[in-house]
Amino acid sequence: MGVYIPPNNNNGDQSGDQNGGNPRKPTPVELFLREKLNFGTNPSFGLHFWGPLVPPPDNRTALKALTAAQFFLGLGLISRSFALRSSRLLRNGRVPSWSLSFKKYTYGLVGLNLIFNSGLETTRLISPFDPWQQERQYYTDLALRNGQPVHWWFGPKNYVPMTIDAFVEEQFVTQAVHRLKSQNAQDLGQFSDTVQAAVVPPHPAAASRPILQISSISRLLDHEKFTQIYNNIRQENEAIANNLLTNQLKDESEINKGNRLDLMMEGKYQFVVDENYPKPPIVLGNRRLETDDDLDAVWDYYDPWAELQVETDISIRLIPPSRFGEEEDVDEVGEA
Amino acid sequence: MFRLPSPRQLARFARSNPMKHFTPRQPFAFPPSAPRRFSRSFSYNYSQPFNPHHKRNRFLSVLAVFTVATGASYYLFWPHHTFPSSVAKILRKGLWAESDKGDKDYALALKHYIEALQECDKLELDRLSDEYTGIQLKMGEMYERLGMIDEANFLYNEISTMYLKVLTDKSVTLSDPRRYHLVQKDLRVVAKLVQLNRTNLGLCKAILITHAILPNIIIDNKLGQKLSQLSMADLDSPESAGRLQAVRYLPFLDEYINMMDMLIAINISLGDYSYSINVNLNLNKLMLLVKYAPDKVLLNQCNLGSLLYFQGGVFEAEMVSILKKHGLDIKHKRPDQYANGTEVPEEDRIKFNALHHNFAQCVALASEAYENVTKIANNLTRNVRMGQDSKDDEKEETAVAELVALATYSLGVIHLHLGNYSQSERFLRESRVKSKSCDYQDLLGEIESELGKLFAEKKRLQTNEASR
Repeated sequence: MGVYIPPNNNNGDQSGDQNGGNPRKPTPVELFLREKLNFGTNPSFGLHFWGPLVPPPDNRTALKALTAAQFFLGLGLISRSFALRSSRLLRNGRVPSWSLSFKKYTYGLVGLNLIFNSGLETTRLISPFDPWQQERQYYTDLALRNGQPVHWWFGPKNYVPMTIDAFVEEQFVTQAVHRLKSQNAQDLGQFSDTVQAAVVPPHPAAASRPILQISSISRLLDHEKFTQIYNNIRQENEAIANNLLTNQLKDESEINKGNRLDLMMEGKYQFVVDENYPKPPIVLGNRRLETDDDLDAVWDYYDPWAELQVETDISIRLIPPSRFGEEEDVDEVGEA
Repeated sequence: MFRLPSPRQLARFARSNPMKHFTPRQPFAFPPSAPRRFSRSFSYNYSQPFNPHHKRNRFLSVLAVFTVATGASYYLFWPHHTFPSSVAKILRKGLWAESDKGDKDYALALKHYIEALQECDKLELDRLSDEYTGIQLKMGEMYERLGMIDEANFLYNEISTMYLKVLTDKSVTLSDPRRYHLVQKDLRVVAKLVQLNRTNLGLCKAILITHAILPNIIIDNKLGQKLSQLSMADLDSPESAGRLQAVRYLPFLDEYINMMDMLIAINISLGDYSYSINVNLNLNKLMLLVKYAPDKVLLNQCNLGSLLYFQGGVFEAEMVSILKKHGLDIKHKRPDQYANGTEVPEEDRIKFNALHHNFAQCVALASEAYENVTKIANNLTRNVRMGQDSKDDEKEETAVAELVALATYSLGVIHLHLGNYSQSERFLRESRVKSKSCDYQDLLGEIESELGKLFAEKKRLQTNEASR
């Protein structure tokens, strides 16, 4: 929902994905700038003036700061232009001339342009869904998966952000693959009201039972109770960790790994590895893990929070049987 | 009084001034030939020396401040390094041990992660940060992989309780995005906790309900009223559009919907269908409100049908128990057939009729829900997309096709339950064709078993008729 899904090539996820499945081929000028001069541009609505200084779409703070800087720059130019009015000039003892007049209009127009463009950029920044940001994150992931270098400023090699037309298309037209027709959505809504009216009244208990009762909320959300529970669990966990370090995990190291693997094969190891754990292990492939930058790249790719999201994203399908009393199927379909 | 000279007049005057070539940048001095009243007519002090660099300097300094601010924000907010160097050093060892290169040595990885967390504590890193909790999640995963489920449970509990502790703390002011971010993370951990404790249904329900309060409050605040009291007529009004937009972009929406799905499943296992229906209807409203992905909306509708059918089953069981009490044949399910039994007291008869009415209504509504699914699935608008079809498109299309097969199957099951064998057979066969075309293996087994029951039932009827 609200997430840009870049169109895949047919050979999308296969390892032969050389350019990271780019949506748009770079123009010859862009290619020249990028490859010969190592010089690219990040996309924006109204910051073109800054060229390669435009920050990447996912650095929102920098984008906001630059937009503000541009706004004040424009304001400054306009005030310069006002200072060059004939009356002001005369008062200050200067003589109006053609060159000053030219300067005045240039300052004014450029200043207005900068202010207008920073306004445009603001519309992008306050919009809750930025396809450029999503797109860049997607291609960064793709490049990391294939072990390709990712430039911290310009993103993956050969990556060119989508055009402004595509941006508008993504932003305003295609946010989902399919849509419900509005008539159908209304039908569903009315049906839902019908069910509510028909099914809930026969059960007075259910009717008066919203998902949560207000009276119970204040009782449940007791900050002091949570603090107390948290402190207890925290202590418990610290004790568990310390205990593991001083006892069971004391001698584990890279050096005696061979012995432990042998023990594990014989089934005599103190821990039993759960072979049915649903998540595949980390595959480093041709990635290295020698510097802090490498760690950041791997940690980003195997981000524990993102993995947890995939792991816990389930949808539930109920398959009814014709006779009750038999086992009802609650089919949990993982979306991994 | 005299008139002030217009700037244009002044300019003309200045251009005609013969002295201008000699004093272009000097403080302005009126030529002796100029009338004196000109100099009196302005209150501005012309003797003040003109410094053309004064303004430019100020402008440059403002620009410089902004440049520095921009640079500082690049430096401060750009995530150049996620972890402090000492923690990163330990984490690298942990990741290495856990990976294929380190022979999947989960015990050693666990050791390193514990050390990394202790290093973080030493450096007094923020326990709320995603980096700190990320290490904890890694530890939890290692516990699970090593079969230490209790330890994993404790750790996940710590994280989720910490979020609740911070979110309920009135002395801490959190910005809205930060609050939503924490709620989102909390819901993910809660989903994990429920998966780990799936055998203890009561505990799961308690966890889910406790952690659902905060997102519920946020959604209700955004809507300006309670979601459960919102009627669908409110949704189309233009003034509600802004509020809906606000709900649509709540970052934890996916996690919230996921959580409500879990609540439904757990209540089914507890046998509380009416609660599940209630949650399902609220979820349906929310999804329509935010224009959620249509396959999820249809799935929810399909589940609504099943829930109504299960609820009908509850009524039917009560009907059967009344019949049994009076020693009557369970096959007599119709009130008209039953009304002939004169020995039954009036009280039970009324109760029975009410139950039958409810049962019939539930089954009718269930059929309607399934029909909604098949009808709407064929009527989806396909968005025009740039480029080729993606895998997600295919995934969504498969999901919709499977749901249509499931809804058709469910219609067949309802008719089989009601004894309409020819209709049931038609739906089940149709569903079999649809399941095969989208390769829905899980359903195919069910279809075969239901068809088997159908044929057995038909055969029994035929032999009964023949023997009569």
